[in-house]
Amino acid sequence: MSVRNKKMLNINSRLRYWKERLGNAIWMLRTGRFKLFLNSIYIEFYPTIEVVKTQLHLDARPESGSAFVDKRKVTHPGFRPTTSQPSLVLVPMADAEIVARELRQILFTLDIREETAP
Amino acid sequence: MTQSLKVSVITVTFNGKKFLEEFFTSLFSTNQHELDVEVLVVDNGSSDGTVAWVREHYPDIRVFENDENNYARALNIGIKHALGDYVVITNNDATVDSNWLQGFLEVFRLDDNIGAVQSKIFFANSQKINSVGVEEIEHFYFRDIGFGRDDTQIYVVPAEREYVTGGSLMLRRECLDDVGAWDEEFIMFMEDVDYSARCRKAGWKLWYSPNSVMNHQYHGSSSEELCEYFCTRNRFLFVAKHFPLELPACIPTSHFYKKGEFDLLYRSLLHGVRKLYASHDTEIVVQVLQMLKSCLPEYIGDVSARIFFSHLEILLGLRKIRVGIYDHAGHFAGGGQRYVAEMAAIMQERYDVTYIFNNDVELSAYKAWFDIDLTPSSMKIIRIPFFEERNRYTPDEGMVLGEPSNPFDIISRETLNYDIFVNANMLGKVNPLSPVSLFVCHFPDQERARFFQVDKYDHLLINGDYTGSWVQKRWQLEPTCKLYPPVNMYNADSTPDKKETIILSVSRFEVSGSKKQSEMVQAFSEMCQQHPDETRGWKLVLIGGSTPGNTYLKFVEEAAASAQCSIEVRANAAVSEIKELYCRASIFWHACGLDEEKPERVEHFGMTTVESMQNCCVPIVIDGGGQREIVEHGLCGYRFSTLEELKSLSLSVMGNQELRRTLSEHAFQRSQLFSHAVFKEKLEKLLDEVELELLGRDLLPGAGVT
Repeated sequence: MSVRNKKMLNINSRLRYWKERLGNAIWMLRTGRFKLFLNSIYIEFYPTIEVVKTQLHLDARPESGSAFVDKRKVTHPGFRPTTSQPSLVLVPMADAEIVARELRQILFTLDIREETAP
Repeated sequence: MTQSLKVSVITVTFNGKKFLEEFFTSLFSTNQHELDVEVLVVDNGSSDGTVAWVREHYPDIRVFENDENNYARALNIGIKHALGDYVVITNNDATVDSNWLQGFLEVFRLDDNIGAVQSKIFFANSQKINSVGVEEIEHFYFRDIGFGRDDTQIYVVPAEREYVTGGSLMLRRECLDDVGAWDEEFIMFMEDVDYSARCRKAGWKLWYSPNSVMNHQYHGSSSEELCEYFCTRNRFLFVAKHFPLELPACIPTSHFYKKGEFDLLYRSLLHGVRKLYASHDTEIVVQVLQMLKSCLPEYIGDVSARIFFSHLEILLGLRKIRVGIYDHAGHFAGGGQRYVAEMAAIMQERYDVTYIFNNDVELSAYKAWFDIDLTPSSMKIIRIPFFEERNRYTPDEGMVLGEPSNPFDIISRETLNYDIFVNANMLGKVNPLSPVSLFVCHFPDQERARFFQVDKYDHLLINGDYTGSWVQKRWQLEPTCKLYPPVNMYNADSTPDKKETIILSVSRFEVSGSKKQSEMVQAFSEMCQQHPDETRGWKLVLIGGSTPGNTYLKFVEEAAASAQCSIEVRANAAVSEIKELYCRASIFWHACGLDEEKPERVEHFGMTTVESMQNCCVPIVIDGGGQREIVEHGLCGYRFSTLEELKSLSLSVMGNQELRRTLSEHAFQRSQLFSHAVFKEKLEKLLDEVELELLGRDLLPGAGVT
């Protein structure tokens, strides 16, 4: 069976998943692992929480001051560069010339519209 | 006699000394019947003394030191040195049961095609399972099989797995040799999932052994935050390698996307496409790029998508780095222009540099003004309609107040054409849209106001601590780099022995009088009247640039003429003349900032002070602005706060030749800090940093800039 076919797509697998999460939660509470319990609740629900948080953050942002919005700059202040460096050696399997041409073409056709600042 | 089987146990540490004793005790208590076990520790740069502790207490253990905290690289180091027919990689925030090693081998005996076997891993001090294998949940997110469950009968028999964890894993040597090194670009987390996929692709089976038991402290040696970050980042690498056409679909399901962390999403996707380029043929790469072109603007916006594809060209090494330097006052020969032209001259050795101006100017002018050759760079003139309509030759951002849109967006749009954008002259309303951006701040003249964009720059350069302190006060921003202006006035003929009784001051004759020449005339005149013996033979020379019809210059000239002492005023002297005076002068005065309250009216750095020090003059300068950073009071000159102090300090230096000599020697040494060589070295270091950012250097949660 391929990996893609093993996704939790049917209701049974979802039920099994939540049953297991519930069993796990009870075990954590019984054994006094409250921190792990809270953490696991956060892991389960954080995508929803974070979507709400992001929206609140965007709503609270002052005027961007430019018609061009660079979404990369919604920065996470806790993240900073480290000394970890990428490998400088890159041995491509693809043809560099064709990929370069494709990228030039993409850049040529990308339309930059002025966006209204959030 | 049975030949013993060689087994290598590799464990990677990072500040894990506290775990090791218990781990080693359990490891050395395992059943090693007919086994020849060697233990290897690879340390990832611990600061808790792990390496020394292991060497002292376990001399038989081989210890290796990794030069960075990269778990996958550490594994490769260990595997390279391991001699075993079977190699175990294991966490050490754990203990192992006595049958740990034998339990692995039991399963290997079932089938020669088994390449790797994982332990049954429990949470420490409980009978709950941590992992009996790894499975995909959805959208290429993975989890441990059995996580948090009871040890029921379904886990008591060996079983084949699609993925295994590297927390406690034995690998057959032939499998390791066949599959090759672990992928170091994963750094940590999911490197085992990737290796599992590679093993299976190469035809090896992965199994789980219920009789090899480990008790693990969950995230004992790493944080939840770190795990979350790397799992989300490495998911892009994994998909790019093994399921390339699924890469675009991974964007909206990514935790980074869901949490609105677009910068992390952007960077991880760059890594992903780089991995794709290295792992697949042209057809696949082009297909994925086209898919990304269609969907990326929807996910991260048109502008960021444009930046992404341009950034890719650099990341894949397909073209040279382009730098855009914007100077809205580049048609004017000022100190700021010279500072940035020095930067441009160094940058053009590595990159394609384009100067962006708003007004007519030729780069050849920089040769005439500053003797800086910018011939290899190109230039572009972009007019700003807002200022053209108002007949304003030089853009003044202070004029932009109630406009509905930002007039400098025309420059922002231009920044999209560069990989590095340098805002050279503090035009704070330009929104940088290049992958990396630098804002050069000579002094924060403007308050934070409408359309303020400075906090969007990746690097904020300052020319000294004085500017830096005002950047913090006015803009609440932290400068990222201090780069003193390069000063080039060294003259080999200048020595402490060849000095004459001259006090020199070099400053423009500002119409506002901010350079305080008239106060210096007054001070010298009073010194001569009050101390005729001590000042006999001494002369004050005031030299500097001036505009035609300068009323202040006239005022100073008149004051000097009526002072009844030797004072020379020379406006617009040739450079050769200034050089000669630096060579002859014993003392240098600088009073800009005297009795001033506004920080703008104080010298922000003080290039002429450094020029004088390079020529062995003794500086006696105002105690304010950038002068505090240049002149160490009492060591290489003096700083004064009042004219009385100026006179008193000057008299003490004038009357003591030995003191003059000592101070001038120290002044010369101190001036080396501000030389062109130091400037070049620091700038190149900064450019190395910037290049690393362009090449996709990683971000880590909570780690400071190192």
